Amino acid sequence: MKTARFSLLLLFLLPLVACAPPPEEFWIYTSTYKEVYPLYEPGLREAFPAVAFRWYQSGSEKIAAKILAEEKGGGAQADLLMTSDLFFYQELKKLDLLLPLSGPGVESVPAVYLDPDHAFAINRLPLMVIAYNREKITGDEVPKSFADLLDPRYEGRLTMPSPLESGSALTTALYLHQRFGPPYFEALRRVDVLAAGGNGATLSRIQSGERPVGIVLLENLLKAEEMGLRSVAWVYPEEGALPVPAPLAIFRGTDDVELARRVLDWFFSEEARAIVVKGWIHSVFPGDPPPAGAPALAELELHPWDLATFEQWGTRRQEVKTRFQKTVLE
Amino acid sequence: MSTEFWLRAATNSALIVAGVSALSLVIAVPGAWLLERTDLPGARVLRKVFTLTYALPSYLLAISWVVLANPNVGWINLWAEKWFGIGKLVNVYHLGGVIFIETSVVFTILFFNFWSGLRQMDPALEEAARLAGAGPWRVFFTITAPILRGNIFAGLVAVGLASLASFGVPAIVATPARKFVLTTAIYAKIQEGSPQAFNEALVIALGMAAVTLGLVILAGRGSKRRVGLVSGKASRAARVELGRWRYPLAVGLYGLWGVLVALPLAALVLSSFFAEPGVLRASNLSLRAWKYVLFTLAEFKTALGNSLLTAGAAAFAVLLAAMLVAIVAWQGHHKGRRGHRLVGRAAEHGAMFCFSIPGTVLALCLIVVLTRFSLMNTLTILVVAYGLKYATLGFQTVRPSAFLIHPSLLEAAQLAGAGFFQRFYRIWLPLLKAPLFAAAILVFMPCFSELTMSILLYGPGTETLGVVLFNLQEYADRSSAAVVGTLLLGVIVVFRIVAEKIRG
Repeated sequence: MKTARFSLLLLFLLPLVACAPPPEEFWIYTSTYKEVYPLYEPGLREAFPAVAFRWYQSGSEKIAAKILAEEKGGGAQADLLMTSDLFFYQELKKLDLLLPLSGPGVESVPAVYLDPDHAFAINRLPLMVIAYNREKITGDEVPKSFADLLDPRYEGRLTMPSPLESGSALTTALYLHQRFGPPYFEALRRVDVLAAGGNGATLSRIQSGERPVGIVLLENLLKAEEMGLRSVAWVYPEEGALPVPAPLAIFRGTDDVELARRVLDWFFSEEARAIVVKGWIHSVFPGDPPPAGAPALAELELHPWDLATFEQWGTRRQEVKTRFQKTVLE
Repeated sequence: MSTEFWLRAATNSALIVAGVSALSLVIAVPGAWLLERTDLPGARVLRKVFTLTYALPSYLLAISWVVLANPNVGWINLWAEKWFGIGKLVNVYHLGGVIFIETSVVFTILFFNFWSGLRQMDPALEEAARLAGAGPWRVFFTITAPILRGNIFAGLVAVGLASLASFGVPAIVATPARKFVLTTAIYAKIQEGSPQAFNEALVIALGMAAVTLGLVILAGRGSKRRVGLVSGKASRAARVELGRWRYPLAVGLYGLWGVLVALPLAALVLSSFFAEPGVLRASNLSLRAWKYVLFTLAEFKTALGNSLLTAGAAAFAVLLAAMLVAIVAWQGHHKGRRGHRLVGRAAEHGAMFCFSIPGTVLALCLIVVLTRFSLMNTLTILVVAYGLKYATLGFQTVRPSAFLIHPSLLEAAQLAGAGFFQRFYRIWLPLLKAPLFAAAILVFMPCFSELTMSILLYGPGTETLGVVLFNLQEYADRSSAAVVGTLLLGVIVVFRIVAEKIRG
């Protein structure tokens, strides 16, 4: 029976060997939508034929948690990060986990969108707006501002993505917290907001009418409209649409530093910038056209922001997250 | 601060366990009795239908009930308003919703426990009571139920454990109402991403494991009272004639299944053809979501491959382990070797325990143990989790058949000079072909649609079908989630039919 015991042990170990981690690859962790990030593939493959690009797509906050867990377990697998939670990049920079960027593409980024130490660079500017179901919300029921949303008539009808999962939702929570203070969260709770999942799920709830009013990314609305789905309309809120600066960065732990720098720089090429716009997002480069169906950034009233103020707010990222969770979600 | 949060979650979990157990008892015991002991028309078909229900992942039903019964625009609410003028008739976002949805799948555990008891017990006892003048109610409550109380108890414990461990249903319908149960609370804490929150979750998970262990030991005691196997069956029980209740009862049972399972599954399939999620209107019908899932969504192909691979690898590993454990236990049983008997029993009890503890707990323990071996983000960790969780299904299927193999066969082989491997291939394997096949399906199916553990263990490139479906539903796009759900449902149905065909 010695043989039996030995083979028992062997068999339990077999799957461990069979599924060993794959060879060297270039990992991009991104919150860019599942139907958009594949558009980058052909260009990347052409520019870097020898590299096997692997993608991990999820919500910015889920990715942030994943990266912190990976770092704790001995270094992130990710080489390049492309999500929409600027505060997380500032945190990574403080932890000294990011590699300084260089290259002609990065150098061409307008200064307001570039970290002074080149730890990260912003290439796209998603906008949070207020959307509503055309059939269920009409006339003077259409909200005009973020302050309007707290009106009792929206009780049980309001939705937004979850700041625990989506970077744009967390950025929104920080804007609202900064502007209106903690009472805004308490009021959100009073109108029984449903803050869950990402912007896609949020738009689903507005479309079906399950929650006919919501805070959601403009890109999801533009995409739906282009597909001929007309049940949802939107307003640019009086406080200004909320810009969600979305950066790119590379990790110190990457295997081939030069390759990583070049890949990142490629995302600032004209080819890649065109894909940003095609993905219904505003490019940060003044010369690039706006996405189909949207006005140019210069024509829009945006809530003011800059890197320095974000850095100040960012120190309270975790605090605001926890406050939102305790006040609104639990 | 957090204590209150966990206490509320524990209370909610307790409410769900109690509610699901009670509701299952009310449906499963009378249902099984009607199907086995009466002249109910269509009993065979109903039994097949319940077998299929047993194999369904309950989160599929949760996805459909969100479409059918959300308070503002759920289809049931829209119909109720249109035809009867009642607004907001039902609201799925509620602990009651969890209890209802969970029961519609897990009651089958108790159903089959009780049903197999009914088939095995000697019907002469009931007959005697009937001849002595007792009516069907009296026979049931004074003879059948007391004799089978061990089966009922074991079934109830299994139902309770299943509802305690459930993650998908409460995550989909209770979290939006800010109601957390233990599994979803643990998930939420881990999503928070801080080490502190992780440790908190781990402590709660270990507490859950301890409670489960207690329940399993209790159940082990209780089910000693299970009806003893009377093989070589006595006469078939005379059927109770339902008389004028025959058809109303049959219609009632079919109707119940229709509401619990058929209606939501139909809604699931239908909603996969919607351009805008959940909008019930002819002009909204489209193949968009199907095209998207099948041709654009790269993750779907990855996930399909991963699910096939991991479920297959887990099933294979469990089969090999089950063979070896059966052989070791056989040596203990037939050759009276104490050491072997102990090893065999230890393996079986260990597997039973892994099956009983909630998947969330098992996954968390694996994260703690296996991150040391840099197995995070690999398919291996999923195979290990699936294998541990479902090993007992393989063990329990293979061992009884293995024990029937007479020692003389193996002695003859040994005398003829056959070594261990030769005996394995020439005797054990061919004689156990049928139970091994059954075990493979039993293990493969739940792994293929697994969500609870996968959602905690998956990483970049190791998404499974359950994970993709859950993320589409909760994070991205519900119509596409319905497409993946429909495909998953199709695979499960086809598998069941093929399995029945091969077995029959």
